[in-house]
Amino acid sequence: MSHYAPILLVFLMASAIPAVVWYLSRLIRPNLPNAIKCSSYECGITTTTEAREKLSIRYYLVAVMFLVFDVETVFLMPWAIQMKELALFGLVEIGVFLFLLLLGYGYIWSKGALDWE
Amino acid sequence: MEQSLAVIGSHLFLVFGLLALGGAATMVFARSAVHSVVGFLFCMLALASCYLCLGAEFLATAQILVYAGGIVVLFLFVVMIVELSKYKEQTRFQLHTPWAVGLVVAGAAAFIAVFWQTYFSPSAPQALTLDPTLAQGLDVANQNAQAISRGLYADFLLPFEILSVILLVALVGAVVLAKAERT
Amino acid sequence: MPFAQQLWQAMLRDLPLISGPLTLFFAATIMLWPGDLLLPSNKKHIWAPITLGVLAVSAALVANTANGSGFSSMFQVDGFTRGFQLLCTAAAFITVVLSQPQLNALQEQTVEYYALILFSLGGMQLLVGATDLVSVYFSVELMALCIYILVAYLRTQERSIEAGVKYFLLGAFSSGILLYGISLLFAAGGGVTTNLLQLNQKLALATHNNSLLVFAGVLMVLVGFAFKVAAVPFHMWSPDAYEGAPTPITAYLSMAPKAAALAAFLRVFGTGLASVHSDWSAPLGFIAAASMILGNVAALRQQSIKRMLAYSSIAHVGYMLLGVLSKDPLGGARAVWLYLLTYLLMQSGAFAVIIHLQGTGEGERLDDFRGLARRRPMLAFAMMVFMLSLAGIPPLLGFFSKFYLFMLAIQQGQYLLTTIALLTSAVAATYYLGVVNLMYFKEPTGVQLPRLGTALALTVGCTCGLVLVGTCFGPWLLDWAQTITWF
Repeated sequence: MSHYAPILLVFLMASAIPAVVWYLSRLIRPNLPNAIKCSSYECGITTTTEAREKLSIRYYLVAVMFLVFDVETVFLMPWAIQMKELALFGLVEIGVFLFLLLLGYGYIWSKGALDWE
Repeated sequence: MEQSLAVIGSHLFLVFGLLALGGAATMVFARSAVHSVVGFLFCMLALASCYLCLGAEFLATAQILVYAGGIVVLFLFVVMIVELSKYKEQTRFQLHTPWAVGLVVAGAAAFIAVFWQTYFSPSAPQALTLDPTLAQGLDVANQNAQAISRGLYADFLLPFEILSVILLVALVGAVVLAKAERT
Repeated sequence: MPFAQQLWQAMLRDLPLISGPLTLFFAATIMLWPGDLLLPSNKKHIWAPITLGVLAVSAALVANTANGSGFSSMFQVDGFTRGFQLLCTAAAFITVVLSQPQLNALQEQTVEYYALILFSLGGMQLLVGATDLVSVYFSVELMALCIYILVAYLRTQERSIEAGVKYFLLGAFSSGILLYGISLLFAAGGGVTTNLLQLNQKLALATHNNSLLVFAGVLMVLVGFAFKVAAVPFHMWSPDAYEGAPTPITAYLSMAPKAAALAAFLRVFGTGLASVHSDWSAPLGFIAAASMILGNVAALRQQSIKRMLAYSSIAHVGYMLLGVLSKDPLGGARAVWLYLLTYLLMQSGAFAVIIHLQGTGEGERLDDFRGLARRRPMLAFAMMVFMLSLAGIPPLLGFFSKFYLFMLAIQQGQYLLTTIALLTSAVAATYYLGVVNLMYFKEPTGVQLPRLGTALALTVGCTCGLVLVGTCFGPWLLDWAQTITWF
C-alpha cells in the first residue's frame, strides 16, 4: 500500500492547485456581471436551441465497437504481466482470443460498419 | 510510518466509499441526464480508488479503463441519441417512487442484517483469500496482479475463451441492430 | 515439469470434451467472415442448409464425446450433459427449419441470424456441462446475449424492438442478481472455490455465522435462475418477448434456452447446493406453485396464441420445477429431461402450424384458428393432437412424461404441490381445448390457405406422429432417460 503514497500526494496537490487559484482569482477580480458575461462561453453565433437533439444511430455503433475493443485491451494486461511464465501456452491462449476478435473486426469491416455512409 | 499509512489507508477506503455513494446518488437524483452521467463517472472513479485501497490494482485499472472510459462514453452517446427533452415534463415514472423507495430500504435492511450476522456475531469470520493453489510460488498479498493473471489464464481458461466469443457476439449484435441496412 | 507445459498438456487432454461447442463457434465465426464476404448476395439462402449441416456435425460430436471432466473442473461431460446438449441441438435444428418461410417472405436471409443461433447453441452446450459457478455464469451470458439480439431481430417492427429491450433489461438485471448471489456463496464457502462439488462440501460445514450469508446467496442464485427459466414472480418479460419475437425465435425461446437453463438449474441446485436443500426448498416450492397457478390462469384470458403459449410455458416450467425440488436430484433430472423431450416435440409442431398460418397474415390471434378443421382438416387434426398432448390427455406423449414427473413428486412426498399441479392441469385443459373448440366447432372466417411447404409439412407430420404413438415406446423412453447420469 505504502508505494501509493506519492500518487496520493500528487493527486492531492493537483486538486489543490486549481482550487487555490480559483479562490485567489475570486478574491482579486472585480465583480461586475452583465448579461453577456453571464451567458455560456462559446465562440461563433449565439446559440438558438439546445445542443441535445436526436443524433444518428451511427455514433452508437462506433461506441459499441470502441467498447468491445476496449475490453479486449484490458485482458491483454494480465497476460503481459505473466507472459514469460505462461510461455507458449499463454501465447496460444491469447492468440485464440485475439484471433476471434480479429475475425470480428474483419466482419464489421466487410459489413461496412466502419464507413460513415 | 507503515502503521500510520495503514490507518490512513483504511480511512481512505471510507472516504472513497462515501464519495462513490455521493456519485451514485447524483446519478439517480440529478434532473439532467448529463449530470447523471457525470455522477456515474465520479462514482466509478471513486470505486476504482476503493479497489486500490484494498490492494486490487488490476481491478482498479480495469474499472477505470472499462467503466470510466468505455461505459461512460456509451452513456453519453445514448444521452445524445435519445431526445430527452421530450420526456422532461413527464411524471409517469414517479408513480412508482414510493414502491421503489420501500423496496430499496427493505433490501438495504436485509443486507445489513446479513453482513451484521456474518461479521459481528460472537465467533470471528473466516478470512477471505485468493485460492493459494492458484498462485504457485507467488506472494498473493503483494503480487495480486500476477496472481490474478495466473488465475485468469491458467485456471479460468474456459470462461476466458467464452468471453472472447461473448465480445464477438456483441460486435455482431451491434451491427445487426444498429447498421442502417443489412447486406 | 514447468508450469506452462503442465497447462499445455491439461488443455490438450481436455479439448475433446468441448468438441461440439468448438465446432459451432468455429463454423459460426467463419460464416460471418470471410464466408459471407465470399458468397454472392443472391445465394444467401444457402446458409440455412450449411447451418443444418453444422448442427448435425455438432450433434454427432456431442453424442460421441467420452465421459470426463476438465478445464480445472469447470466443464464435465456425462450422460446428463450429453442428453441436454442433444435436446438443445435438436431444438436449434427445428428452429432453423421453421425459420425458412418467414425469412424468405421478409427477405431477411442473413448470415447473422444463423450465426447467432449457432453461438447461442454453443453457449447452451457449455452451460449444461458447466460444473463451476463461473463457467455457469459465462455460458448463461453467452446464451442470453445471442437470444436478446434474435428477439429484436426484426428491427423494423416496433414490438420486436420493444420485446428485445424488455428482455435485455430484465435479463441484465437478473444476471446481476445471479452474479451477486454467486459472490455471496463464494464468500460463505470460505472464499476458496466456486466448483460445485467443493462448494457443496464447504457449505455443508458453514458456521452459524455464515448461515444467513448462505441463505442470501442461495436465494439470489435462485432468483437469477427463476428469471432465466421465466418462473413466477420473475416471468414478466416472457409474454412480451414471446409475442414480439419473430415466431421461429419464439419457438426457439420456449425450447432450447429453457432446456439449457433448467439443466443448469438442476446441476447447480442438485450438486452444488444439495447440502443446503432446506434453504431453497421452500422458496422454490412457492415459485413452482405460483408458476403453475398464475401461468395457467393468465393463459385463459389471452387473445394471442403466442401469448397463450408463453403463459402455458410458464406453467410447464412450474411443473418441471417439481423435478428440481426432488431430494433425489438425478431422478428429478431424468423426469425433467423426459418432460423437455416431449415438450420439444409438441411445441415445435404447434409452432410449425402457427408459422404456416402466419405466412398468410394470420395465426397470431386465437380467432385465426376458427373453423380450421373445414379449411385444412389434416393441419387442424395435428394442432388438436399437440393441444391435447400439451394438456396432458392420455394416451398422448404429453401425458406420459407428465405422469412420470408427478409420480416422482408424489414419491418424494410433495403432496401439496402435486395436488396444485393436478388441479392447474385441469385449468390448462380448458384453454387448450378452447383452441380445439375453435378449430372444430366454429364457422371459418379466413381465406383459403396455401399448401404447406415441404419442411413445415415434414415437421408437423413427424412431431404429430411421435406425439401420437410415443407412449407405445414408453419402456424405451424410460431406458433412454436412465442414461441421464452424472458423477
